[in-house]
Amino acid sequence: MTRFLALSFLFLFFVCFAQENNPLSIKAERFEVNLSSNYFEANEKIIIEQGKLIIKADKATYKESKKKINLFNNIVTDYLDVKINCQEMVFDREQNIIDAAKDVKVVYKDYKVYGQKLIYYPDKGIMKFTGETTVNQNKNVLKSNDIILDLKNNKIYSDNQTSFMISSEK
Amino acid sequence: MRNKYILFFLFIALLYIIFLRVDFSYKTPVEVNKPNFVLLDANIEHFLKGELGFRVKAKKIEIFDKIFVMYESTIDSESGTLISANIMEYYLDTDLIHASSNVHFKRGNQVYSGNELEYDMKRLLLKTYRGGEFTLI
Repeated sequence: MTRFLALSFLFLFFVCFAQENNPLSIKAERFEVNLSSNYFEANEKIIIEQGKLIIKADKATYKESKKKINLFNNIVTDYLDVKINCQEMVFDREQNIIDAAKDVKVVYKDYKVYGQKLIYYPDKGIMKFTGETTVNQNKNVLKSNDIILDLKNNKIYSDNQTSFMISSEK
Repeated sequence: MRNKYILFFLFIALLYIIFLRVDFSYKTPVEVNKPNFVLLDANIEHFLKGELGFRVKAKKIEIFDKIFVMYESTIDSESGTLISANIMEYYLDTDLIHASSNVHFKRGNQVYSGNELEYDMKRLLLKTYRGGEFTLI
């Protein structure tokens, strides 16, 4: 029993340690870095990689003390099976949270979601959409103002002015 | 007598037209900068004293008045910054380093590899151009 517990702790420690130590790689045409304040600004053809997360954008800024990457214009994010397109994004490295805004489009398996604002918790597999949001699954369409997608349990929660159109076509 | 004046006027006009048409730019002398002296296989322990001091290893260093051009060189500064590149220029007046071709930069957990950078050693400002990759370990 003790050995099992010790191994479990060791495994948990390894998982946490491995996640925190994912190095951040930023490719870009131009960088401007203030090394005294550790403020980064990257421009043109940006590709950011951290573990399995890949983000492409036109502009990015990053302050190491805040551990948050701000991204702007033509953002394409690939994280496991989830693809997010938008115009503005904040990626919180510490909390592992993606905050997307402006023309948000999410593609996940056969789901296509269009919304105004999204907060994505990859570890929990939860996506919270606020503002007018449309979920398309094949030919079924769900529209609402606030939608929560639970990707792990394949559930959609919506409690604000929801309309649901189910396609009868096969 | 009048013909002489007309001929002289025409001659001057012709010279003026020729002068306008000829491109003299190629005749501008090109000033070739020659270094004051050259160091080969240099390994300098203390390049400058004080806060901005650094060590240099270079295959060749050309020393001009206030510019040091270093080839296949590595700079290791007292503040913990490491820069290597095929060509590096150090401007004594401004404490600016310009590095190009096969550039590597390391400071703390920040690593950069790319084609061109400009580093202001005093203000700790780094600018990079023509593509590159930053890794924060």
